[in-house]
Amino acid sequence: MPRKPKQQSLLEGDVQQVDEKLLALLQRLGITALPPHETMLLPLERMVVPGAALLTRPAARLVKSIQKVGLLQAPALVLLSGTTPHDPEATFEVVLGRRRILAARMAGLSVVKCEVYASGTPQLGALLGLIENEQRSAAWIKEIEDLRRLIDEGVGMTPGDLADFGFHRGTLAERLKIVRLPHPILTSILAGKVSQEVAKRIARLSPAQQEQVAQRVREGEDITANLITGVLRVQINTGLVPAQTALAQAWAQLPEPSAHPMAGNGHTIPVATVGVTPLVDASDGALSPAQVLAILERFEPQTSANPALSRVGILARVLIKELQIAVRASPLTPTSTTETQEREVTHV
Amino acid sequence: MFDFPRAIPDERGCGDREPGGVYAESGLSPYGSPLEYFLFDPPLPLPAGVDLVNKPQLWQRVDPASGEPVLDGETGRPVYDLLIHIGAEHYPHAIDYIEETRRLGASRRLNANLDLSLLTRRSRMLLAHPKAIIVPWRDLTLPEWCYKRLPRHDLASYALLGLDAAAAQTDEARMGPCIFKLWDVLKGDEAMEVFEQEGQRPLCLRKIGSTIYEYRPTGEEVKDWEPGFILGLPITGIALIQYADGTVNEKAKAKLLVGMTQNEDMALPFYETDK
Repeated sequence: MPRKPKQQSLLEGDVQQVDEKLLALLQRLGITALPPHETMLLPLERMVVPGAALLTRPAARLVKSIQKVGLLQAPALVLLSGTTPHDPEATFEVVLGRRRILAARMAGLSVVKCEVYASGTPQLGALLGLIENEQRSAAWIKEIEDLRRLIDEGVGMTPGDLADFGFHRGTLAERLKIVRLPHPILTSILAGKVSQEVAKRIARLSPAQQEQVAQRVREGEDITANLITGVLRVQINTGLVPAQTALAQAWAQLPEPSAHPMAGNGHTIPVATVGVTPLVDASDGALSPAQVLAILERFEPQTSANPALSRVGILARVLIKELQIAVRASPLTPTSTTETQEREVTHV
Repeated sequence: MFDFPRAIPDERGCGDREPGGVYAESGLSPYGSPLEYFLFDPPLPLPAGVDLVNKPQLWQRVDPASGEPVLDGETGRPVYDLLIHIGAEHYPHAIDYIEETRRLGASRRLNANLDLSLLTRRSRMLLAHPKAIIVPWRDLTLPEWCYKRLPRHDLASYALLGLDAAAAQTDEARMGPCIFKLWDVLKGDEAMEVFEQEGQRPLCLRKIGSTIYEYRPTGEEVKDWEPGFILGLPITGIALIQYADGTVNEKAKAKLLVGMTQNEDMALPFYETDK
C-alpha cells in the first residue's frame, strides 16, 4: 500500500555532481566566466550567515570532524560591506556552506579558508544559495527568497531548466507556486510569519482566493492556519458540487434496496458484480461453476506441457481465477463462509 | 447473524493488506447493483486545491444547492464522505482499478488517525485517479458502447439518434469525455497477451495484481491527461487487519466502536481479519 513519501530537499544529490551543469547555467545567467574570486583566510566574526536562526543545528559529528581536520571544502562568500575583500572592516555573506560556518564557530575556529566572490552578482548568489544541499526544513524560506530573486531579476529560468540542473521537480513546483503568491502574502512568508504548511495551503488556493487573502493581509489581518483552512474548505466544497450532484442523481436512479440482509440494512447499496444465480449444483444436469472449476483445474496443467495449448492455457488460468473468486464470493458457499467466520471477529 | 458485504482479500495491484491496517471496503453482493452505476461518466475534475495524494480525507458533505451541511435523516448528524486518491504507481491506468473493483470489491487503506466514528452507512468513497480525464477527447473516435447509456457518448447513441458517427470529432454537441473510452486508449503493448482476431480489434488481456481483464485497443494514443474522480462507492464496512498476535489497531477500533454507539442503525459495521 502507498506510503507518504519523505519530504525531499530542493536539490537532489551532491553539489559536486552538478559542477558541469553549474557552468552551463552560469552561461544562461549571462555570466560567461566565473566571477572574480579569490581564496582568503577570513575571521569567522566577519561572516554573516543568512537565516542562521532558522537553520538546524549542525550535527555533532560535523563539529567534531572540523575540530580534527578543519574545513575540507571552502565555503563561498560574497562581499557584504566594504570596498574590497581586503578592507579590514569588510563583512561577508555566506552563500554556500552556511552550516559549515556555523559548525566551524561551534568547533572554536577563529579563521577559515573561503572562496570570496566579488559583489554584484545577485543571480549567482541566489543560485549558489539554492544549490547548497544542506538546507533542511527550516531553510525553506531562504529557498523561496532565492527563487524569487532568480525570477525577479529576469533571468528567465523555467522550472524545466532548474529540474535539468538537478532540482527535485515536485518540491520545486511547490516552491514556485509559493514564490508567485501575491506580494503581501509573500512578504509575510519571507518575514517568517507563516508556517511552511500554511504557505503550501495558500498556494493551493485559486488566484481569486489568494487575492482575497492578500487583501485581508493589507488590511492588517494575520494569516492564520484557521483562516486559510476555512477559505480552502469553501473552495473545495464548491469544486465538489459536480461530484455530489452526480452521486445524488446516481442514487436516485437505483432500484429500491433489497430487503435481504446482505443489502446492508436497506441503506447502502453494495456493488454487485458476481452472478445473481446461486452457485449450487444444478438439478437439471447443467454444470455448476464449482464443477467447471474442478474440470478446468484438472485440464490446465496439460496446457503447459503442450505448446499448441499455450494460449488456451492463459485463457484457462483466467477462467480458473474468475471461477475461484465467484465461488468464494458466493454467500451460499458453505465452506468459505465457515472458514471465514472462524478467523474473523465481526462487529455489527 | 446479520452479515454485510466484504471486499475479497485476494492479491491487489497495491499488494496485500498490511497487519494493523485500517481499510474502508465496498464489498460485493449478489443483491447490489452493477459497478457501472457507481462510475462517474464523464469523470469529474478534482476541485482546485484538493490534495489527496497519499492522504485519504474525510470530507463533510454539503448540499450543492444551499451550501449547507447535509444532515443524515436518521441520526440528524452531518454526513462525511471519504476522498481517496488511487496512485498511478500501483494502478497505472484508471481502468486497472475499476476492473479490480469489479472483481474483488474496493479496499482502500485509511489513516488510523482519521475520526472513523464520523463514517456511517450514508458515507461514500470518492475515488480519484491521475489519468481519469482524456483532455483531447474530442479528437478521438467514439467508444463503441457507453454502458451508462448516455446520449452522444458512444456509437450506439449516434446510431439511435440517426447521427453520423464518422463526423463525431467535429460534432460540437458531442458529450464527454465518456469514461468508457478509457478501455479503448489503453495500448496493446501493455497487455500480458494479445489475441489477433480477423476483422476485429485485437483482444488484449492485462494483469493487475491477481486480476486479469480484457480490452480491445483502438490504437489511439493519449498523452494529455487530467486527474479526476472515477468512482463514487458506498462503504459497506471497515476491515481491521490483525497483527501476528491477533490484535488490531486499537485506536481505530475504539473510534469505530464510538461510531457504533452514536450512529446506531446507521453505524458502519467493521470486522477484524488476518488477511
